[in-house]
Amino acid sequence: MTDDQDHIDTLIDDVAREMTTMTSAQSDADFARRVSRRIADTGERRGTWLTGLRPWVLAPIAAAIVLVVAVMVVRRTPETVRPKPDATESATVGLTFDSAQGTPSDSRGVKADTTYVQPVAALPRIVSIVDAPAPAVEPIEIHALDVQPLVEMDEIAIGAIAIDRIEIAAMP
Amino acid sequence: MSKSHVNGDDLELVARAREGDQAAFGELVRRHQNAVLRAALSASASAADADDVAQEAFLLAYQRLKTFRGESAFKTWLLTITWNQAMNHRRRSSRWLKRFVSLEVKNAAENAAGDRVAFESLHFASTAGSPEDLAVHGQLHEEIRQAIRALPEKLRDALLLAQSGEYSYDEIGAMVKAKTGTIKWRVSEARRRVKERLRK
Repeated sequence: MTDDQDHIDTLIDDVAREMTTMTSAQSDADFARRVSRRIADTGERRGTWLTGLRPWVLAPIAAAIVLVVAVMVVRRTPETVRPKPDATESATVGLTFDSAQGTPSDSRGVKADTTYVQPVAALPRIVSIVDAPAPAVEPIEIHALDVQPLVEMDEIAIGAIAIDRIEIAAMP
Repeated sequence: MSKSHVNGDDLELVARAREGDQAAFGELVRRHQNAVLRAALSASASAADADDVAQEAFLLAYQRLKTFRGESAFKTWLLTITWNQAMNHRRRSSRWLKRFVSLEVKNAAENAAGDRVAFESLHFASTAGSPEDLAVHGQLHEEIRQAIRALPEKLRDALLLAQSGEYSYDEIGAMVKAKTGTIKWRVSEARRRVKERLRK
């Protein structure tokens, strides 16, 4: 029985060894060549990627990004904010009716587009309330207030109440 | 490749490879490819996966060569990288692996009766050489293989690494981050479970 046990142990070890045994295709000299090729491929890919990250390529990109951000910041300051044109107003501003063609047209004879929007520059500039000068208002002078009565009533006649005497009981 | 590469030790080759000597790294690959491939094969479901893992391990080792401080042997450092790569690969394909293992377990269960017959006739099979005996022996071989595959991962890894003949218990411990005594126990436990399974 001990021999059997030893033999089965040996057999297990043999099978385990077989399971990690490489075929000739795996362990041949070609493996080193494949690794070498893979390293070279990775190096090339990395090189290509690094080329794109070199300073003289990055600098203009960074400058462009800074410029775009600066423009966006400037546009968002309150002094340069322009109101949106009113859609109801824009449909009629600058249009005359061309009776010959039966369609509205502008002074240049161009057919009007109903979606035409008046240029923003033509609108009055809106100044911030904080920055606007205080309005000059004349003082109002009042001599007297003449207030009419709210309700007019007739006189109320109240008759005399006849009482002979009042009896008060003695205190205990 | 120069002769100095062939004769130099690992540290010398590493130093040369760090300086960009491709041939020196090629020599390191040739020296350790068997150990790396066997470790990868221990942890992988197929030879193709193992080959891929081994290549990735060498690639990673090349990229990290500057971090190798020589505190351990180059082989141990390389095998640790290999094992980590193999574990990453295993995790990535864990769904597939689970299906694979469960299928093996199912097949093993279906052939349980055959296992017992094969185990009991082992003694005769090992001494006799008739075609019938060889067939029984072959069947037993396959059953052992399935029993090993059905082992828990840690036991299976320890058994396969130990029996590959490429590594000492210390090296296996460093590779899988476990104590040497633990590795020895795992190998012994793996054998016991395989035998127990064959008896059922």
